[in-house]
Amino acid sequence: MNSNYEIVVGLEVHAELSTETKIFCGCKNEFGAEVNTNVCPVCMGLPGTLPVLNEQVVEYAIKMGHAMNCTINGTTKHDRKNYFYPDLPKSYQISQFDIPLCENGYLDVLVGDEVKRIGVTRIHIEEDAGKLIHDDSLGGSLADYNRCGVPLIEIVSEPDIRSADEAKAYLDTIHTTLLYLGISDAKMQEGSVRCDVNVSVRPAGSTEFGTRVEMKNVNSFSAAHRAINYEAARQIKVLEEGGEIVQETRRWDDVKGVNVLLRSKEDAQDYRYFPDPDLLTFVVSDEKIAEIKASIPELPVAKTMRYMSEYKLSRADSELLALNKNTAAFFEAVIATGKCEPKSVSNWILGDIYKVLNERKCEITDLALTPANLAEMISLIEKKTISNAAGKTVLEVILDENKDPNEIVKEKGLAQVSDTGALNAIVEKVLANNEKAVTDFKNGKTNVVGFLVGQCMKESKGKGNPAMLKDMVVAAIEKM
Amino acid sequence: MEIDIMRLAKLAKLSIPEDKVEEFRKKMEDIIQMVENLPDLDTQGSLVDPTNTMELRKDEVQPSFPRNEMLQNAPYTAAGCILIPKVVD
Ligand SMILES: [Zn+2]
Repeated sequence: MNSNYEIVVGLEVHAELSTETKIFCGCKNEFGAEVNTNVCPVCMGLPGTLPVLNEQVVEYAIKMGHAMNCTINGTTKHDRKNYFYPDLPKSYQISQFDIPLCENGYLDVLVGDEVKRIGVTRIHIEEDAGKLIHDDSLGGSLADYNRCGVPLIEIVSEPDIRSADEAKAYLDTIHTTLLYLGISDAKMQEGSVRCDVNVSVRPAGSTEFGTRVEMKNVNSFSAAHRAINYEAARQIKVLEEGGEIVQETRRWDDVKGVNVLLRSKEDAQDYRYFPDPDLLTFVVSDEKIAEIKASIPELPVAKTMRYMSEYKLSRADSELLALNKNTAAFFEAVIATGKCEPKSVSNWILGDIYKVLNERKCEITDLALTPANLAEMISLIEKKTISNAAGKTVLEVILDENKDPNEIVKEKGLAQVSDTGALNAIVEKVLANNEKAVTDFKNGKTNVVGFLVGQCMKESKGKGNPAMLKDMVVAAIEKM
Repeated sequence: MEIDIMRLAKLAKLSIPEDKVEEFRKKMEDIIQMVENLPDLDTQGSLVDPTNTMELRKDEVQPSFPRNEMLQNAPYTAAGCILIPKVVD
């Protein structure tokens, strides 16, 4: 990227809320249902029907507002956003215009090792539109209205984002926050989270904003990253060639990696917002707003920062642990037993256990593994009762069976051998069988000691105490 | 008040033949004149009214409408959907 320019990005994120029913009627809010089976006169916009707001939608949206440090407008209303498109049978979308439910917040995100604060202009509630299926064989399009009236929150950021990496960090943080709060399934591939991207560039050091271009059809967070870099480079090229950026909407084509003009400013939509006469003012009490605030759990970025400072874990490990709500809760439950070091717990979870989760494509909560059993197993290693290798054997059992690790150690005879006599016999045997390695060691290749200790461990069937074995191997060779 | 009838037609996705523009412009002017004659409502800058609020609904599923009945409202249907002229945006 040309360093004479600064990129300025603002994002509008739409997230579907995982309520049982739609926002204004009792139809099921469900992905993948048979077409047009979750529809009724209200969500189809038939004359004479009246929408009634779902209280769960309000509560979920306020949760997100608190998580993004917003002011909550307890007294607010709905407005109609008018536009003609066949995925919208009413020809207007019920949204919020001048009094959003939440506004003036911010979100702290981690970009590299830096904390970056991104302003949140507003979060409002609105209804989703239906889906059009294009079918050439029918010479027309098919309209499925199941998604009409599915509750959405729209989160609008301030133009505080300065790079594609910052945009990606912001979007990832919104994604994990939605999952932590349990208010959206946040599945990108099902379109539960979508985003519109506004990009402008300006000379480095300038305080005025350049003309912004809006990009539609950005269907994943990694696509947002590509789309931002592409659009910034396009604008810089235009400016460098003496051209001018015009306000317009462009469509991102992720397969081709380019965007094309969708509509110019002259063709911009005029949504003619006005208060929806079908819906009265609604009020959420201060007590209710405070009650919802008290229910917000510690969120991923705060957790990551705490793991780094409290447990002295690396940024990368802390983030991996905090990213998934279930993994974080499990990690904290193991630490809470006070039996073992946070660093070892982190290593086991992010190492052997993560491998299993990836192989089985499941969550840590799907395993029979309990925090108590994992803590006990790790403490046995830390007390040197068992070797690390024996720990892996124990883990294999406790992953799928709730069994006391001490039992397993006894049954399988895994207790570490620290008896000098027994270990000496092993060392002698291994040294006798590996004359070349012994010679190498004597010639200064001291790193072969690892190989020799490994052979001793193998000989002891993983039960030898590796630290003792190492000292004994070195002493024995030096005596030779 | 100047009325751009072609712009309104575009927003409403209506096609108005050239020779009808004047007629519609006149009609629209009459409608706006009628609305302007209504007494002003003092909205005090905002239309929220905390003295007249709505009751919210519990998040409980109610039966939806039978699809075959719903589709009877549409002139053309196919594969359980309403069939509309092809749209590309
Ligand atoms: Zn409905």
